[in-house]
Amino acid sequence: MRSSRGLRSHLVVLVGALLLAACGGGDDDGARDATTTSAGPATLTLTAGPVSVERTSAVGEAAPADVQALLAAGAAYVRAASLEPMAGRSAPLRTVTTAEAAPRTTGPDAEALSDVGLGRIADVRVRSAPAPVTILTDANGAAVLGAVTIDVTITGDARRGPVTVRRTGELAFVRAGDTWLLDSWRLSVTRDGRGVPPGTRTSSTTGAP
Amino acid sequence: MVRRHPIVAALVTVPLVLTLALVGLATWWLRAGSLPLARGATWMTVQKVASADATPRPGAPVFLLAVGTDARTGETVARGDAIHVIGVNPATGQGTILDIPRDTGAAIPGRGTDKINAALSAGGPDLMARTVSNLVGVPISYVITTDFDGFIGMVDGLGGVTVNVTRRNVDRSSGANFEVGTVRMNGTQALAFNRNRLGFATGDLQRSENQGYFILQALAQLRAQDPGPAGTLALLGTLGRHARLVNLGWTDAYRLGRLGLSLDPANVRNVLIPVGSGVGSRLQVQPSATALFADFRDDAILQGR
Repeated sequence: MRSSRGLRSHLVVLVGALLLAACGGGDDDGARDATTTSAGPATLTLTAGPVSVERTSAVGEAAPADVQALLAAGAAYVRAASLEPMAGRSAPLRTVTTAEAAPRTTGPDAEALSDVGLGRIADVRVRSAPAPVTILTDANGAAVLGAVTIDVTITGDARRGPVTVRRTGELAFVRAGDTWLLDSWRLSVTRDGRGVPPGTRTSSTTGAP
Repeated sequence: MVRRHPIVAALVTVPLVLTLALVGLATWWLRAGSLPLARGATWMTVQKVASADATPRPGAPVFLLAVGTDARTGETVARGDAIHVIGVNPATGQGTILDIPRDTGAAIPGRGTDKINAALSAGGPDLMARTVSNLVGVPISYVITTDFDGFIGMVDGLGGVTVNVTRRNVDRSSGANFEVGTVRMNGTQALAFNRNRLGFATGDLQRSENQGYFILQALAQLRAQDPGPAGTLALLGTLGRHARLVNLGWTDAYRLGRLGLSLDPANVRNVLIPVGSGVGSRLQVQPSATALFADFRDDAILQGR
């Protein structure tokens, strides 16, 4: 009996180890794409994918500060669109958009622009692929417009079950002093899981002015 | 040497106004891997009208004026010989192109009544915009002007434009020689197609309609490439090297480009304004234009036509 119990214990340990290894492998696969995975109060920091510069003259480079500021603006949008609503708050999209774009956040694009309809989500985790950045420079070589391509996956637990939200697309930003504000977008959002209310699973928008 | 007609150039201007042409050209260049960094030939000038009411409200219809001039290389004063008002409704993705024949009689502010194409040489794009605005009754926010070389450059930059020729288009003086059928036109051919008026019984009126049709074909071709925000920035990079912006920043240019890309050509009507014989060689706007303009000005869409 003792040896049998010992064997069972070893098997349990072995199976447990295999499961942990499997889970670890999954994490590694995810880590190749992920820039941020967090639990508890969800946070997001985008890291740069390929950076391209579109020049309107012979001069113009992608200043690291501009690239980082654009990534921060992209992350601010995701926080406003998804993480804040999932924390039970409103989606403060108007704080991250230009005055010209703000009215469109409550129009036909609203469903794709934010995850307000999901309700409060617990144990939120965020994963993001590196974000390609495109910068337009003016005649003096200064960055005046920028675009960030996002691919963000958010998971968590709603009251009715698990939720997975994948938000992909392009965000265009206008320089506003030291910061950048969202001016237009082309987004696709897929919401899956038992916790997703009917009618909010998939949406997309072109975000044209 | 074949002389290029200004009207042809103007026709090409409309797609440019929408920035779609630029977008298509830029995309073509990018795909070809030969994006030039040096400033190239100027295809057009985009000017934001200085008047206070020229800044459109978010979601409100936007009205642009596309003008093809008769300027030859090196000339700085020119008449606006191809004139198109483009109305875009951002909320619905619909629009209308109103074609205004160059000989249409109009009240030119401070100049009395003259052919409408004289407004450009008399007072530049601002006066041209005011003249057209008074005639049609819409606030013109942007004026896009192009010339012969700019037109050819744009079409060639696009890699050509495919046109379904529905009516024989042959004329020795313009160089047009197109039988009915589908034709892929380069810049020079497109100019000939759009400048031909002598080959039609209705002359400039048919030419104006052909120009409008060509614009829509070019628009459809450009939109099919469907650039997103990042692609639009790439197009603006090319635009910056081939366009002169007046009273206009890159943010405005970007929004204008996105506005153009939001238009489905299938939802854009091309309409020649009703004109008839007038004083001398001028054309007279017909009474039926009143209802047309009223229908156009509220939302840039012609519901009743």
